Amino acid sequence: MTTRVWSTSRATFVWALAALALIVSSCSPGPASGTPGPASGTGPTKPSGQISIALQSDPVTLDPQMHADRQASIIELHLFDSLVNKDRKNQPVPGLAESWRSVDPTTWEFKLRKSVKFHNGEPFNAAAVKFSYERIKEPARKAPLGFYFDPVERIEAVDDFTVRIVTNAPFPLLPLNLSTRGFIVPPKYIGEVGDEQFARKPVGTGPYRYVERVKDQRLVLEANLDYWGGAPAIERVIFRTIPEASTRLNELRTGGIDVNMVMLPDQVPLLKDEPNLRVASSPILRFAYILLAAEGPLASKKVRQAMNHALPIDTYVKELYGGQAFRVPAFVNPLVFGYDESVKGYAYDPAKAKTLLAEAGFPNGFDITFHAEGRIVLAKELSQAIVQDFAKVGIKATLNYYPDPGAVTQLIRAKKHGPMLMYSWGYGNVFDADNLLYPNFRCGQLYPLICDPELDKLLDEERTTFDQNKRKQLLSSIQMKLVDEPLGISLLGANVAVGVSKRVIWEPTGDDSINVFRDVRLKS
Amino acid sequence: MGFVLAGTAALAFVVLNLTGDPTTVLLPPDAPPEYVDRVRREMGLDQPLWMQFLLFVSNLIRGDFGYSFAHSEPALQIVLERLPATYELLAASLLLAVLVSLPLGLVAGVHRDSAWERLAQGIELVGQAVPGFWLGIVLVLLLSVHLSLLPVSGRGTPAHLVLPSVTLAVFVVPALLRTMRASVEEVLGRDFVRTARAKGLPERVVVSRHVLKNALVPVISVGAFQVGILIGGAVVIETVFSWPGVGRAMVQAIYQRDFPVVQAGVLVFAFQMVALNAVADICHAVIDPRVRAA
Repeated sequence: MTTRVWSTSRATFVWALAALALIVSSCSPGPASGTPGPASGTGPTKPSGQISIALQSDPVTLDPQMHADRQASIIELHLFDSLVNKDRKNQPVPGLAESWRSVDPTTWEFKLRKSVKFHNGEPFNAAAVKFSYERIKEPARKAPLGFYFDPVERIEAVDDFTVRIVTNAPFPLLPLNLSTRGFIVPPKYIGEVGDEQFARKPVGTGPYRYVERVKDQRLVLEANLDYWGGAPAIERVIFRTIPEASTRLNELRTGGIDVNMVMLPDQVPLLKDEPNLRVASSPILRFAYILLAAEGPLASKKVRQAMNHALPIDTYVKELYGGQAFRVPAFVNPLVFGYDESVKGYAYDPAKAKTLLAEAGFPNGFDITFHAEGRIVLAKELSQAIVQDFAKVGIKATLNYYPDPGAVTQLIRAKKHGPMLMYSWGYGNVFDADNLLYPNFRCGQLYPLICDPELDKLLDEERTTFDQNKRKQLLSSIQMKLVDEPLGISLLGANVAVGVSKRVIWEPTGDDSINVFRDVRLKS
Repeated sequence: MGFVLAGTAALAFVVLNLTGDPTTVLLPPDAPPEYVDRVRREMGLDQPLWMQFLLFVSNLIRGDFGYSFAHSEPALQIVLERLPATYELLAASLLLAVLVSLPLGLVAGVHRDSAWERLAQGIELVGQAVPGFWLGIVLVLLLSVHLSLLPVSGRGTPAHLVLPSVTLAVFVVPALLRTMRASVEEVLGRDFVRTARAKGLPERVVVSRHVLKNALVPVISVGAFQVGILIGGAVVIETVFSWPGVGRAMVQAIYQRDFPVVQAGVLVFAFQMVALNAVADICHAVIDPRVRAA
């Protein structure tokens, strides 16, 4: 038997090769400028691996401007960019715009990133921005999110890489709104193939490009190696449509998927004994609250205060939601800009509630109709618990529970949602307190059941103030007023529970979504 | 057929419109009233119901099922794209059901008071009692999760078809089996069977040549009806197993109040049922010469 002996010269050669590799890798260029967020895509030189994510329903379209669909909004983060992206704290960071400024109260100017191309090679420029935002505003298009652009009067392409957006009133929140709704689409490609084909085979500037879609089954995306923010770390992203909750869980358990975006509360304990799986839990934007009308017994401030004291919200968080929920004291989710932690909610005090009711002239309580909608987790159980706790202080609430959100929307449009409505708000992924406060409490909007002229002034001022510090103070004043009056009862939000394979390095960021390029890595 | 389709179209139209306004689902809840009104005008939803129905019927006559509210694609296309998947599932389930029901029904009918008959009765009872949704989930847990023998969900390979088709077949096996068994028992008591036996024909020839053909006549009628049951069951099974068929698409369309897609789906299924009954009549004629002579 011959034994191979490594010669000295061969060993030297191998060590030299290793040293050379080390030197070359340390000299590699860093991330491209303007890379969004701390967890950028540039990791390994070449993307590798794949991740499979389960969605609850098939996206209705892949055209980012033609839906109000949550599943589609998760996908479009990967295919498209906006002028403004979001970091892990869901705050605005440069996207396709390197910078922006307010030229005057009704004009925003965006300086665009150069040398960016759409997936088909079409150049990105000011004309694409103008096209995109005019497209979503077109009345004939009936874009479900088009009305969010009603404050935009016109879009001006100053030069190839400068755009001005002129609004019809001061709109400080425009950049934040664009980060959620203002995805840029390719004008030339759409002109060539038409809207229907674009929706089938989308082209964007995002970190992933479209590969194939089998409707009601899967959507496959692959890494865009020329992405302006650096090549993604993960080569392939597969979105699988699995409507049934138990099926999603079983796919997770058998490795058919890596991430189950929607797990039911009673499924969470089932993953405890699974060695390769974990549950990633985090608060999200959606939370529940009750709007009150100033009519009948509720016209009395003492009655409304009594109703606040009658509900053990902390107990609901602990007992009903098993601790997987968070209290929202003053109608502002703790995750969003403007939240003031110094504003506390009402303490549970049924004795005080009864005293206040008696002082208001209702020693024996009163009857009330209670509408409740079902979009928040355990909404029915929560509304039933509220009915029981009201009954303890003498308030006899007749519950009308609506599992169908459309039915509640019809009720609200017909202004028949009083005197008491339990509702929930998801903020549309816009992390700012105004997103809920203005529509729900500004007189003249769709939702308010009580009008308060002082509150209206505060809301109008915060909405048109560019100074964020001043806005924060105004929002604090609004929260204090909402609790003092009170105009409703601020309840709680349920944490989202996401089933995740242990090979996936990722934690939810509160937007009830997943951004593979920005936030996800795979264990090697 | 025209009367059936027209009646189905009218019923679907009325029932769908009773479910509510599609814009409550298609637009975000905070869409301003003026925007909602504009969208309703563009979609023709602001017209009186009778006018909307007349427009729907006149478009239908021209083969225009309208555009999906949610997908912005032709509604009929959305249904037709998914029909092959549903047909695949229905065909596999029906074949499985026939392969189990007919032979077992024949043997159980011939050998009364035997273990075969007791087996058939047991299958009928359990198949009738077990909810399809539950059975599907249990089969997945056992065969996919614990034993890793079959995929959990989806479509693509023959292995993907096994669990959904077995689960769906359970919806119709009890009725087919019971009908076949009862029919065989009834035919065995007929004069021509006694005559065949008296002539000295072997029992297997009596059964295969005389009994089987005559026993199949009611089974074909019941079978055609059971396909309707299968279509209804497919809605549940397609959801449980993420099978990309029409049933699942229609469930999603109902939640989305996507009226054109639901109407297109209902009419396609109605047409299929009418066509299926015609096929069943043809099969009757093929098997039963008395029908041909009539």
